[in-house]
Amino acid sequence: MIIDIHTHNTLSETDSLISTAKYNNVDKIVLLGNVLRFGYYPVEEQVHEINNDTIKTVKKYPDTCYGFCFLNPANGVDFTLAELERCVNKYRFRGVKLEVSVNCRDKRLHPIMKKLSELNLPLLHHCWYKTVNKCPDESTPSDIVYLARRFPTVKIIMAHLAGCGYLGVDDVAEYPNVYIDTSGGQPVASLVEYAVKRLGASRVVFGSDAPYRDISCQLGRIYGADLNEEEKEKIFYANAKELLKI
Amino acid sequence: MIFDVNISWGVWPFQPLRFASVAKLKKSLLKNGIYGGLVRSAEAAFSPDLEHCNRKLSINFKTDDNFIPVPTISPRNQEWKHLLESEIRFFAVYPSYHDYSVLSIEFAELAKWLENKNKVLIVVVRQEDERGHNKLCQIPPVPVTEINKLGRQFINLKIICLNCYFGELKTLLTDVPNVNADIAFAETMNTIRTIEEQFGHQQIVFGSHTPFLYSKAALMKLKNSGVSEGIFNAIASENIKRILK
Repeated sequence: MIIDIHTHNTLSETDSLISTAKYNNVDKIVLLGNVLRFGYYPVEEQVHEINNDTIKTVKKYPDTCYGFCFLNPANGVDFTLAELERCVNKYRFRGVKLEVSVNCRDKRLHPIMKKLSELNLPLLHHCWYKTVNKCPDESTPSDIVYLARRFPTVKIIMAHLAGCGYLGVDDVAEYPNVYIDTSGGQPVASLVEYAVKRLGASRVVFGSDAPYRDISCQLGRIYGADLNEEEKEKIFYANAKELLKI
Repeated sequence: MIFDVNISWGVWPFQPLRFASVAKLKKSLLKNGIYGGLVRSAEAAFSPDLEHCNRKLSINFKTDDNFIPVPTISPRNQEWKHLLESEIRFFAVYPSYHDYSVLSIEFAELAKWLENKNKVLIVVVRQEDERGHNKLCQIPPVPVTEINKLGRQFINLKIICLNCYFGELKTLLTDVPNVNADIAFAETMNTIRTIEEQFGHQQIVFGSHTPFLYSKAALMKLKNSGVSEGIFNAIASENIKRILK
């Protein structure tokens, strides 16, 4: 069994995404929304539309897909919390996805984090240490640490292991509520092993970032890692199962 | 049977590279179905002494083996004139790391020699994702527009470009049948099938960028692509054989 915790549904490519996942023996995928469809700073109507697209896909593939509610913390608190409750209560979304609209040290994340704590749901947050091409408010692993310390009861999945690198792994090692997904960037060798060594296999989850990335290639980074079968099973399946409560 | 055009050996300052010995590297590649490949010096990117790097490589990898040592040359180091007289068929260049353009006058002289002697030029477009570079050591990629232009200038010069992104392939490969690219960095959904649809497979060769990247990632990219056996074989080994003819 394989669960991919990091995919994006662009409606035109969704059928292809599902069939590619199945072809690669990925049984379940988490849809985080077409988060950059309207750029870095989507307004309320656009956030609503992105989540509606995810809802459509989850309804079409209920045995394969789980939704995460995409939000922009810069939008109004009332809208943001209502959108979160709509997605979770009505459509059984399993968590929240935040991208690059607001840096995660920003206080505007607090109402979302409090609600996630109340609902006992995880946050999956984009993260990267970039030397070039950095978005103005993009979060780094050290920003994630700030959030994890402030909200220790919320499980935070820090996206993009290759983007976070060795330094990012070290940053979050002491915070048990922070997990890392393996998606994004090149399949840099030894990094998965390093994450397992520093965090333990129970805090590393498989993600592909498809359709921007090739699922087979992203799977190869786990299959190719020097880990035992129990550790790989945790990364491919057991950890995500626990986070998603399935 | 897969031949890998993108293997490195040596140390790298920004990443602990896997495999403590040449034997372990070869064993891992063979276990994954990679029967041979082109091995270049990782250290040559930063070293001021290419001769030392090439000698070290040739001590560890013998030319009669399936894992062929590829010396690194530079137009700024005249050793290439001596090397081009040898039986060696492949030569690697790191233009960005060695701070020159493939369109410079100095490089044109080198390219002409390579073309005349029917040698194969390996251009390392990048070693790592630039976004992850150390802030004090930012090395830009080799512009693929320049490589395309080089291919047009020297139409009989066989060129293999390593570590190009998927988005760079169109610019790189258009109208230059003598220019080829490996698959190590190219990635989109269903990479190989998408490449086949957009560019065909004649200019694509298998490269894993081991040990910088997991070999398995490039292998699965090809093996799980669902392309026909003919296309698979072309990318895995037939295209590189054709380039060598």
